[in-house]
Amino acid sequence: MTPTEIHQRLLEVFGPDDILGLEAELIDPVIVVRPGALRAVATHLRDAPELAMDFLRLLTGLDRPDAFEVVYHLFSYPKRHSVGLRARLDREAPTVDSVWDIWRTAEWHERETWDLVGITFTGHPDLRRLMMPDDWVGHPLRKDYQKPSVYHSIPTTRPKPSSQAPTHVFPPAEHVAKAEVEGEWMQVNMGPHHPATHGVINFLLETDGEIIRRARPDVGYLHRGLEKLAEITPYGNTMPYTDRVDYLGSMFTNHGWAMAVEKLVNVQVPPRAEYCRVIASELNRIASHQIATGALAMDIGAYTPFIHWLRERETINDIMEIVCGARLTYNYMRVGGVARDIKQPTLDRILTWLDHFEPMIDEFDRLISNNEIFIKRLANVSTISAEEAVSFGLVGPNLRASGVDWDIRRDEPYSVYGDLEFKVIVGQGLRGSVGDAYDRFVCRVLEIRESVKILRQACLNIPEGEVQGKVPRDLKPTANEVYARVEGARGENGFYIVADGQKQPYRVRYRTGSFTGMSIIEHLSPGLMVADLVALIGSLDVVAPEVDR
Amino acid sequence: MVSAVPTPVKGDRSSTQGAPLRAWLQDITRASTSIFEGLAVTMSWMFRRPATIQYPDRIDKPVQEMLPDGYRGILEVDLLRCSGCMLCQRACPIDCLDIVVVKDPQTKGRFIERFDIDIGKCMYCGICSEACNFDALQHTTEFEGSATSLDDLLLHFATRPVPVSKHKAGQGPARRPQGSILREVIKPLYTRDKRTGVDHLAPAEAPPAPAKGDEE
Ligand code: SF4
Ligand code: SF4
Repeated sequence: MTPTEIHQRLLEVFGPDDILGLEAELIDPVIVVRPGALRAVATHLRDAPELAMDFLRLLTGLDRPDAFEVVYHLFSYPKRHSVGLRARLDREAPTVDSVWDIWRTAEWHERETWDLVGITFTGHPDLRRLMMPDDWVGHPLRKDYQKPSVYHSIPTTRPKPSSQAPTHVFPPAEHVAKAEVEGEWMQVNMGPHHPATHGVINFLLETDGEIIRRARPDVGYLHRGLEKLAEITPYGNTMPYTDRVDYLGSMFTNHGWAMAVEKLVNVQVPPRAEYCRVIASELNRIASHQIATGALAMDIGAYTPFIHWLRERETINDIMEIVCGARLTYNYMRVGGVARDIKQPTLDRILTWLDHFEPMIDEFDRLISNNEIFIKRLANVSTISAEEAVSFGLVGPNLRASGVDWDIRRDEPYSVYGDLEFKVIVGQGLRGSVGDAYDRFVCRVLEIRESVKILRQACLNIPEGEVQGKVPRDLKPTANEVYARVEGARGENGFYIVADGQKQPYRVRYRTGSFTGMSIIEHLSPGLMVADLVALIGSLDVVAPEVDR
Repeated sequence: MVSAVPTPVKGDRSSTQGAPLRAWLQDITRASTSIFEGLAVTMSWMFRRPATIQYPDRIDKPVQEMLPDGYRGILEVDLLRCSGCMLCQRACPIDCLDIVVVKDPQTKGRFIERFDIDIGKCMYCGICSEACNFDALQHTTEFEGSATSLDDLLLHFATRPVPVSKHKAGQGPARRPQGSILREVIKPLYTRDKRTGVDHLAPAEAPPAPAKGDEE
C-alpha cells in the first residue's frame, strides 16, 4: 500500500479527529496523529492484517519552534510498505503514550528520546537516561540547550593547545566497580573495559552463581553527539562524521548519508560511481563480518581464527588505502559520487585477491565453523524467534538468522544492487534451532561468500565514465524530510534528515543495527550462563560506537 | 574431511537423538576429528610464508615509502604555492586550520603570517585538501605523530610571513617533494643511534617561536 492508501484506511477506521492529515509533499510521507490516539492507531497499524506494520524502524524526537514532535518510521515485512507517523506535542509539557509493548524496540528508542530531547513517555517501564550520565542536567538535543562548561571538573571544550594551561584535574572516583551480595544473588559489573564487550559498554549482571538473572547493558560511554554535530555542520561536511558512527562499516554510513542528501537535493549519481560504491561497500562488508565472526570465536576461546581473518583483512585495508586513502575511517563517498575513482590496477588486484581469498574461507570453516566444540558451544544458545527479532527491531544478519528473508539490497534495491546476482542468506537452524547463536555466526560466514560473488560481478562489469555527478556548490535543500536506508554489515543503516532550507540539517537521526541489537540483550539474558552471555554479545555483533553514536 | 559450512551434518539436529551413549560417543568422535582438522590448518601455516614483518627495524624501506600516493597522513602545506584564499579553512568541519593573512600597509602586498595546523584535532578526512585548488595543502604519507605535549601537535608552517602566491591554479613553482616540508616542521620524537640501532628520545628543544603577532 502507498502512504496515501494507508492514510485512507486509517481515516476510515479512526476518523478525522484522530488522524489529522497526511504530509504527502515530503519525500517520505508522514501521517499526523492526535497524540491521545497514538496508542490505538499504533496497535491498529500493527495488528490489522492488511497493514501489518510489525517493524518500528526509528523513533525520533524533534524540537520544532512551535511544538515537540515524535516521529515513528514504520515498516511491514509481510506487506513491504512503509509510512511515517507523527504526533505533535505541547511545547510546555511534551508527553505522549509509550508504545514500548507494541514494538519492543521502542523501549530503548523512547529512553533515548527522553534523555536527549526530553519527551516523557507515559507507561514506559523504565524511563531512565540512556546516553547521558544519570546526573546530567538538561536535554542536549533541544534547540535551546546550553551546555555546561565543566562536568565533574572536566572542561567540555578544548581550547587551542597554545593557549591552554595544564590544569587537568581528575574527577573523583565515584563509579568504582562493586559486587554486593544481597540475599541469594550478586550484582557484578562486566565492563566498561571488558574484552568481550567489543568496546566500552558496561553490563550490570545480577547473577545467582553462574546463572544470570538479568543483564542490563549500560551504554553511552562512547556517545559523541554525532546527531548534534550534524545539526551544526553543512551537509557535505558531515561525511567524515558518519565514518565515526560505525567504525567497522564506515562505507555503509557514508553511503546512507550520501543517499539521503542526494534524495533531498535531487542529484544523480553516475553509474561508475555507483559501482565504485558497491565495490567499496562489499569489501567493507567482508572486513566487518571477518571481525564479527573472528571476534566471536576469540571471545569464547578460539584465538587462531581471528588472527587468520586479520591476515586476510589486511589486504582489504591495503586496497582501501589505495581506494580512499585511509584504513578505517574511509570518508570515501561524496554527495553525488565518490571521492576517487577505482582504477583498473586496483580492480585487478581485488580480483586476484578474491581468487586467493575464497580458499581461505574454506580454511576458516575447517578451522572453526565445523569445529564440534565450537558448534556445541553456540547451537541453541540465545535463540531469537522471528517475531522477537522483528519486534525488537533486529536487522541485517541477526534478523535473517532468525528466519526472516529480508535484505534491503535485494528487496528495495538501491545503487546497482538490482543488477547484481547474489543469494540472501537465511538462518536454517543448521545444528540447533533457527535463530540461535550458531546461525548468526554461519549467516555472516556465508554472507562473506556472497559478497565475494558481488565483488566479482561488480569488478568485471564496472562501466567507464565519471565518478562525480553535478552537485550544486552550496547544498541547500528546501524544507523536507527524508529517510534513506542501506543494508550495512550490521543491518539497516537508516538516515532520517529533517531539512529546513538552511545549509545545515534541522535534525538528523541515525538508525543503527547495533542499537537495537543491544536492546534485546536484557530480554534474552535471564537464565543464561555468564559465559553464554559473551557468546550472545559476540553473535549479535554489536559495535559500541554504533550503539552510542 | 569435514565439509564446509552449508551442508548440515545428517541426523544431528540435536545431540539427544538416538541412544544417549551413542550420541555422546559420536560427539566425542566428531569433536576430536574436527579439532585435528583445525590443527592441520594451523600446522600447514608453519610451512607457508609468514604474513607479518618485524616493525620497525626489519623492513627494507620506511613504511612511509610503501604507502600508496593517496594515503591521508599528516597534512603539509607548500606556502610557496598557497594563495591565501582560506578555502581550506572554511571547508574544514572542525576548524583545525588557523590561517592569518595580513596586508603590508606600504606595498599593499599580502602575506601569510600564520598557517597553523592542529594535528591533534585533525581527523584526516581530506576535505581541506580537496578544497585547495592550488595543490598547496596536501596529505603526506607521514603518520608517526606522537609528541610529548599537546602544544607540539600544533604545527606552525609559517615561521615568518610569506608573500601569497599569485599564480593561477596548475602553475607556480613545482610542488616540493611530498613530506619534505613536513619533516622540517615536525621534529622527530626519537632519534636512532646509527651504531647501536637503538632509539633515543630526542633532546628537548625550545618550542618554535610563534609567528609574530599576538592575536588569538
Ligand atoms: S583533514 Fe579534515 S579535519 Fe584535518 S584539517 Fe583537513 S578538513 Fe580539517
Ligand atoms: S592551502 Fe590552498 S585552500 Fe588553503 S589557503 Fe592556501 S591555496 Fe587556499
